[in-house]
Amino acid sequence: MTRDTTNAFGSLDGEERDALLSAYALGELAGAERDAVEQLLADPAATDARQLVAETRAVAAALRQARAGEPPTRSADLRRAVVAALTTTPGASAPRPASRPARGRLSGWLPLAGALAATLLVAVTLSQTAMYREVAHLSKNAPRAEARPPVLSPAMPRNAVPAPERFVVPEPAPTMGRAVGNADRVRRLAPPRGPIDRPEAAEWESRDRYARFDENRFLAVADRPLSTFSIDVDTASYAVVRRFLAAGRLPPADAVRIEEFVNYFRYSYPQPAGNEPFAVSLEAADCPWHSGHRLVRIGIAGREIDRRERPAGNLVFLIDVSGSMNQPDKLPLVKQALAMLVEQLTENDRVAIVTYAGDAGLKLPPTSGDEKRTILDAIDGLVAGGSTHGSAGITLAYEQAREEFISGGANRVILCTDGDLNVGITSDTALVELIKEKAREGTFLTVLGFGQGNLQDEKMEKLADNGNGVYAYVDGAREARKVLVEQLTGSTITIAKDVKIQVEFNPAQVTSYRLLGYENRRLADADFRDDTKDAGEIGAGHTVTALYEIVPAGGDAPAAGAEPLKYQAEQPRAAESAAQGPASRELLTVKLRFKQPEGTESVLREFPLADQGGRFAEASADTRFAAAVAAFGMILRSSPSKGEATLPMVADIASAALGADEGGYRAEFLDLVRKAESLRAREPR
Amino acid sequence: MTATAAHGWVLEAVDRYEAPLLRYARRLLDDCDLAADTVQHAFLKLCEEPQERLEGRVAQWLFRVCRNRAVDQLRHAGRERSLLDAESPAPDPAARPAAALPGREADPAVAVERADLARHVSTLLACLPAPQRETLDLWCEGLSHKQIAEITGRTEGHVRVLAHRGLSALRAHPTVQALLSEHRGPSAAPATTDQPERGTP
Repeated sequence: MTRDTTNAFGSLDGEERDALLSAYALGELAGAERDAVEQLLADPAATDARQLVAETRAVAAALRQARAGEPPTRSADLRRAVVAALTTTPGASAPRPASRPARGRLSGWLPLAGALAATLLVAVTLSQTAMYREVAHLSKNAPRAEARPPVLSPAMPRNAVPAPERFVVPEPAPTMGRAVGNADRVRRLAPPRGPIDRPEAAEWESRDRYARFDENRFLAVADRPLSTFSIDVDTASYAVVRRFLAAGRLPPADAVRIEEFVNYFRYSYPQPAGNEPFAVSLEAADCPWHSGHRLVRIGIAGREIDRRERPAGNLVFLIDVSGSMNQPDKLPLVKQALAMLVEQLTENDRVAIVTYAGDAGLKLPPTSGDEKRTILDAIDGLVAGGSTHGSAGITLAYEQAREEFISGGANRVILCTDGDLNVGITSDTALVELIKEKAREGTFLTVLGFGQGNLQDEKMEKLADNGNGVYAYVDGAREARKVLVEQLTGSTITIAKDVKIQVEFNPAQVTSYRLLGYENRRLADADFRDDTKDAGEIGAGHTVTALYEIVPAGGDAPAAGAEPLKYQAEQPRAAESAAQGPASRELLTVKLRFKQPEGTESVLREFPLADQGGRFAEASADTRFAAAVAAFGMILRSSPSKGEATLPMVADIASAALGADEGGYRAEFLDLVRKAESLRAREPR
Repeated sequence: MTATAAHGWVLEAVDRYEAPLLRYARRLLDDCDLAADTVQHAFLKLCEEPQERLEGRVAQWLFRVCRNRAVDQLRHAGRERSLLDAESPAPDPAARPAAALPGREADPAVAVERADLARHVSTLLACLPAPQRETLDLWCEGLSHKQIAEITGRTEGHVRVLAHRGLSALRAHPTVQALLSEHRGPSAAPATTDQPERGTP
């Protein structure tokens, strides 16, 4: 070594010197350190240093090369969760949009695509909503350590360098292969995601991820005649629990939210009359888990948009038939979804099909919606792969749309792809310009993503945004059915916002009451009339259900949790109030306040309920099923209020209340109950 | 206006860092799903941050939040020992890197291609002690030593040493040596192989 380099490195021991060389090889050095290393490397005698640098470079390059060769890991879910958080987190850094104009502008066929988006947002992976909730929770607490910028010391602290760690080395070969394989796994919308075959993972999950909450207790009517809460259409808790059970574990109590369980299911409540945004239906019956108690079901149904009232559709499907679409969750699913859609079309509608990126061309010229056979045949004939004819793609699609343009109708190009956006225009800018121009002319673009792997989420969303359209992701036949058929007329169109419920109980009829769930949605009684207090919104076709367990007056005395009242021992009794007029025979009155989507002032609606004394078995299937779901939740929570509820009882009630069960959600519920039963049976006593 | 317009910077961060964060978290946790949850946690936290506060350090911030979260998770599972320096087993000054990597004997039949080296070092990487592996993982994701220091709460000098130890261990492995010699050509590697030299990039 020359004197110069000896000087530069003289103060460093062997490892520190070599670490500097490694850092140099990685391109991490600057200034004096880099100069010193370069000087050393220039020394003809420093063969070992040059070798170290060269080998380190080669190894580092190989590492990065290996990394680059890994399959892309990203999921459409994350982006959606983030977008959802940004639009709903009160603490988010930008103001929450008051409404969603893009949706407002679209009528008619929007419900279709909008429903897709709604499903996606609502059914975001279980943990996403759970996480979001936790984040919201955290944000209220003191900032955590991670918010603190760490202290940096650029100098190499000689004493702080620990000696090398011991190696603990397994056989290496299978490790990477497995890791890479796992990276391929993209999460789906509501998947049984339990990786959790390791007990320790189960442990942290069950211990920490769910904010603790106390269940609502019985409240004495004399003391608290009003019960006020915000509606909630969240359903994530059910999906979370479904995953736990699918993974063979009982969920932690705090993962179980009764209202989210109950609201996961659709109920066929009566539709509102006239222009009312929603209807409220009430029913009372015996409480199945506590004899002597009554169960009140409040059902709110958002107005559905009638299929027959929707404007005529002029739909051009632009379908990616590249080779990569030839997978079960891609083209076959597209075809399945289209076939389901065709069933909903009428003679007023026009459908055309254009393909691109494979066997490209016009597969179905604009065809009337009542020529279902012709359309279905064309759908059947779609094949992925094949030769690429010059692809006019999107231009051809827009031409078809223009030919059949329906003034006042829903003119729409619906792009179905797994991410290959080579629709015939290669320049992104030109493509966006075209889409914008067509949107101005009245033809909107909806983008439906299928499959996984190369989904270009952002780009697809951007295209849809520019096309005044919606971007949605379809992950399975079930999802396709849910969004295309059942919710064809449902949508994310908000039909009422800040919807608050206040129930006033009649002390002549009710001693005490308990709201099942909605613990985090409780409002102060005074907030009911306060239009500055936010509450939940309700969309077209949504249903919201709330259950109250009621101790009737004259029934067994104050239920658990309700302190006896010192000064109201002489409560008005049913017999005595019967003389006071018909109103006093009412059990309760449900008051609803809401604002129109664009409104600032709330409107009040009142719905009284007189208990007809119905038995549980005579109640509607919806009420019985909701009761079963709530009881299931209470059992999983080991709720002190579960009374005599047992899993077999839940299964019995639910199996007798399946109703039409479109989509098979109620049948799935039964499976979960049985699963829970078998897991319970295995638990140590 | 949509969320996309109002929060472009968050969505940009999603596009840019989701994959690296997922890979990183997966390596820390050995579990794709936990990793995905962890990454999501980080991004949802990001949604709450004012953009100005993170100007120029979004990457470090995301990785750090991710790491803290992962450490929490490992701690709950009683697995955090490997990741946290403070709880590493007592250092043994006699132990030198390379000492215990598997497959001491160079395999002359090993295919000598660059892709092979990549495959091999990444396999060996998984066997390094957690702090070294983590450092190299982060570096491979394009983060500088300075950023890695910020993420892991270590000093930059410590990060430098960890990276060096990891790379030295990989370098010293006989199979890697054989592959490296092949890259250098027969003159620099007299012993290992009789295969014809491949074009090196």
